[in-house]
Amino acid sequence: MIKQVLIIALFLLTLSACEKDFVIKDQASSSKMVVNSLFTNGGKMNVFVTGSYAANGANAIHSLEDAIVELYEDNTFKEQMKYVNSDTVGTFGKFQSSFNPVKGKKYSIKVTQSQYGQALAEDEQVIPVQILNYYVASYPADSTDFTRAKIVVNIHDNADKENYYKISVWAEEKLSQVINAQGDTMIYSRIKSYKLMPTVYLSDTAREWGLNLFFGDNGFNGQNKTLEFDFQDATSKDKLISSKLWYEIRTISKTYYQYSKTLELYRQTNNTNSSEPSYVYSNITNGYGIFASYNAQTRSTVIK
Amino acid sequence: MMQWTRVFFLMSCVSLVCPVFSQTNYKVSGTIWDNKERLPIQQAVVFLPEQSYGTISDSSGKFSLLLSAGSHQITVSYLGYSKQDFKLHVSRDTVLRIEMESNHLMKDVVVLERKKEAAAQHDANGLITLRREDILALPALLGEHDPIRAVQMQPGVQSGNEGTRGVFVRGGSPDQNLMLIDGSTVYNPSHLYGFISVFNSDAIERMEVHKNSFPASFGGRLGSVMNIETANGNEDKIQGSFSLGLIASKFNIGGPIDKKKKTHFALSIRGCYVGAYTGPISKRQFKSAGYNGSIAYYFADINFKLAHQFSKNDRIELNYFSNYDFYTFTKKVESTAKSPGESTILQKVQWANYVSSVHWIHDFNSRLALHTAFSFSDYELNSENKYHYSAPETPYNSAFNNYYDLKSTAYIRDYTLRSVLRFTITKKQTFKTGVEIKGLYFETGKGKEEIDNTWIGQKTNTIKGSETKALETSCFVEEEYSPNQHWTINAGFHFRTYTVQGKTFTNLLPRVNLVYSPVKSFSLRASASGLSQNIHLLVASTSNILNDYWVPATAKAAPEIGWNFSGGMMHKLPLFFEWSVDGFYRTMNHLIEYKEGANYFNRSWETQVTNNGKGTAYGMEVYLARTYGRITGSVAYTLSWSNRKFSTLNGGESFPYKYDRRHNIAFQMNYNITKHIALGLSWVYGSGNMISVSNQSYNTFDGVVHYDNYVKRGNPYPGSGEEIALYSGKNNYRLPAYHHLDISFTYKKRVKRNEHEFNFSIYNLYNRLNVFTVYQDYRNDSNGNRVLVYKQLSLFPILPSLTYIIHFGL
Repeated sequence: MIKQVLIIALFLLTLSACEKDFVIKDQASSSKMVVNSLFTNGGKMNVFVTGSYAANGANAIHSLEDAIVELYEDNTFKEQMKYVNSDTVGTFGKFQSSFNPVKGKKYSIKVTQSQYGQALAEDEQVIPVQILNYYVASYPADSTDFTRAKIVVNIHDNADKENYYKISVWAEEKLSQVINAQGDTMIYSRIKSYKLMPTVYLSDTAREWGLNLFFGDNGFNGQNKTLEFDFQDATSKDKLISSKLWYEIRTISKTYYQYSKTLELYRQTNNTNSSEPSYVYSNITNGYGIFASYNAQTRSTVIK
Repeated sequence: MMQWTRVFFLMSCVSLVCPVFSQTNYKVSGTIWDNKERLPIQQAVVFLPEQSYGTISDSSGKFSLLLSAGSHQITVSYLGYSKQDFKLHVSRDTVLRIEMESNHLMKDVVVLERKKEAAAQHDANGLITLRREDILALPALLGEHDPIRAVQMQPGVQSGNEGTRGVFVRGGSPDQNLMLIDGSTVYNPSHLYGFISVFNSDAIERMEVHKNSFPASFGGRLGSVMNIETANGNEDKIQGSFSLGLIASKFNIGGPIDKKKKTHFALSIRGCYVGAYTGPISKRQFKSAGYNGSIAYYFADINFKLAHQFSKNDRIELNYFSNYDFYTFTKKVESTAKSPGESTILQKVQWANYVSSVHWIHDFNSRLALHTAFSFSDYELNSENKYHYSAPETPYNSAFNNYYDLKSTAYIRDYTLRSVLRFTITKKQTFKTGVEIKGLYFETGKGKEEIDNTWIGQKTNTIKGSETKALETSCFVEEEYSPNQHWTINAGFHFRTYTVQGKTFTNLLPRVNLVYSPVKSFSLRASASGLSQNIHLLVASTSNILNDYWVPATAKAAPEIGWNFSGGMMHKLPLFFEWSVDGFYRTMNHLIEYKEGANYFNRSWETQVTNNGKGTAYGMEVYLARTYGRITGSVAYTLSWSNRKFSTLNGGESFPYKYDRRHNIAFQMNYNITKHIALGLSWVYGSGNMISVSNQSYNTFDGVVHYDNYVKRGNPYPGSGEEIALYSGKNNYRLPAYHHLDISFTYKKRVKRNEHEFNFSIYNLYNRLNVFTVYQDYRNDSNGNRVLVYKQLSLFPILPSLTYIIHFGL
């Protein structure tokens, strides 16, 4: 009887499903150089060079200090970028240019490293959009005011180019105010960003972190354009520090736009048990990452 | 010693109005019987040596010839029986009953007149025909001789990876195969994740697989047509069988109902009770993991056929098939002092096919026949996911209750009316034409959601789902012509319309198939076929097969169309060997795929796909078989490529299809050790599927820390950016190969009118853990860093089984 039970039990045990780790092969040989640089004419160009790492290994980022980064302007060699160590814990060293990129010039880099070979990338330094004017059309005065916040920005789009933009709006919200032992007034605050909803049609829209808005100039290329946005959950004016509203308009290259749009999709769909994998755009030849230009114009306005 | 034989003639007179042709031909038909066992003899050769013309009897012992008026010398032969020669004078349609006597020379007789001519012509088309005995010759797995597994042993037909449903023909996907049972569509042919098909081998008479060439009468799929003809039941007496196995049992019975034997029935029932084992096993496993739970799975299927011969010219058949699968998973985590909260998960999935048809076959005369059928086919999938969590009040938290129940349903349904006219112009020329009209109904994502949450309150949502109705019509003309004994040409057109959401798609699809046999044992073949299909299969590029999703063609996702080109040769060798080599090239258009970042659970599937894709598949197949003797078997090898291309996927570059499986090998052998004992062996090997995995990661950061941190969320390392899992391309990784070796031993013994059969089989003899699915997970490494890991699930380890079968009424 026992023998029969054991035979049956052995058979029954084999019916159960088996689970084990699945090892992805050839990960080391797939490692490539990673080049990251979002540069602007408003400061020196910084290029971060690291290597990719196995997907199921620990986060092993390290800066490739021994890489040689050559910078070209309009296909003419400009300089070999110097490595600058980081002075902030948790951040990384970078290769830095000695000058600010110039509007309208094409910049390309050639990054050579003994382990990873050579990676190439290029992008043109964008010419910033002209902001003609900006104002707050409506805004809630206090917590009993349910007026929907609305801003208007008038821009002039540069002609003969396919231009892309990113707009962000935020405010500094007062959290609390205390007087310390020295009699000084300490104001504690936080930055609150708003999700802008365009009230007029904009082409090629995309989001960043679900808030900031990307759009293209299809429909107003080379023309003046009035952009109107409203947003919910605006902190009432009486709770803002200095009653100020901040906005930034970035003129971005098409490369920057493609990178940001695909990165946002990636953020939303990163669980491939329930969604298809998505691919973050890269313009690095023989590598990963991004080399793209932008120009940021940051303004503030006092809400009247 | 000479054995005297007797031949009985039953003459029937039929007065017919015959078409006016230069030569009058009459139908000579009949049945060949074993005069002692009172059983029909199939595969007996009926041959006219003076005309080099003949045929073979079918599984009911029936045969049919078209002979001119006058005297004909006829030879009837079959291995183990005394050959008969007689002269027949034909002046009208004639029905014969031929009784043959065994000569007990089965071991040593070589049948000289074996069906070389007929078989070479038939096989030369590339049509695969599997009879019940071919299916039964394969090793029984868990007591089941599965017909789909028998088809998967053929060249160009792949079995798919572990647990993959359906068959894969020449680089195609499961949706590209039309599965018919008595002419009606079966939408989901799988039990137990494809391990066993829904087709009970006891109920099957024959199975035809068209993958090389497609007669104009068939349409609706791009890859292949598999047509199962169910058994009619014994014509002479009630017979049946009963089998009892460790996880499944079957009952089969059939025979005449009335004394005149004009009405016959066949009934087959099968039930699987594997849940009786998985329940206790899984309970023990979950207990050791710290919670209560169990998994159970059951299925059943039924086949029924009723046929009545009203007159010599009219026959009606009623067919019914259905299967029912039920899976349930429960898990309960009890409340503890550390975690004062109790949770329960219940998951139920149930799917079923319901297929029925009525056929009327009318013979106008010996040349002209009309077959009309009305059929209904329904596939339903119902699921329920229930979750309940409750926590009592504690000094730190108030009581909390969260109840969620989601029931959802989906179905595919069709109503079809079809009529086919067949006209035998001469012995060498046949003409067929027909029409079909089909109403299609698809419903997905319909359901009901119930919520009871302490914070949200109670809510009930009715989920409307998506319903699509479509109308499909088709007509065809087809002619087969053999100008001489070397050539056969089959050509025709298939015209199809599909109307959905106010839009009509039309396709005119030509078909041509050529066979050239310079000598009787050798043939060359070539074919070209235009095909279309009105159904899509959305395939997840991750490995989770549960996310493969069937959807109808719509106004936005047009029907798929394609071309199949095929060419090859076949050669019959001595000692019953035969071999063939074929090459194929297929194109596909209007394909759809999930787009990047698509959500598998979004009910609006049309918003999650990208369309207008193209596909190509090409390769070659080599096949060697021994079809007769004590040891029979075959080995089939397929080398193939299958790619897809979409402008919005993979950067517009071509990428391997998920089911691009480079190599496929199928080996099977059956050895009749003695009259009572047989050994069966099979081994299958297939390259793994292609899936998308992240094999590298990198970080994004631009050094602009102070501003971007205002808008970034959840980034604990300022300046280190975000970790991006990198996919070097779509379907960039090949899963490990799938292979397993199976063996079975069968012992049969006849006792009076019953035959007892014992079968012992082992599936996956060397216990290979083939990949069923791969999924993403995360865990912390020794430094506390969260790292991505992949996990593999395997379904079927080594599985022995024991089955007892009794065949009664013999």
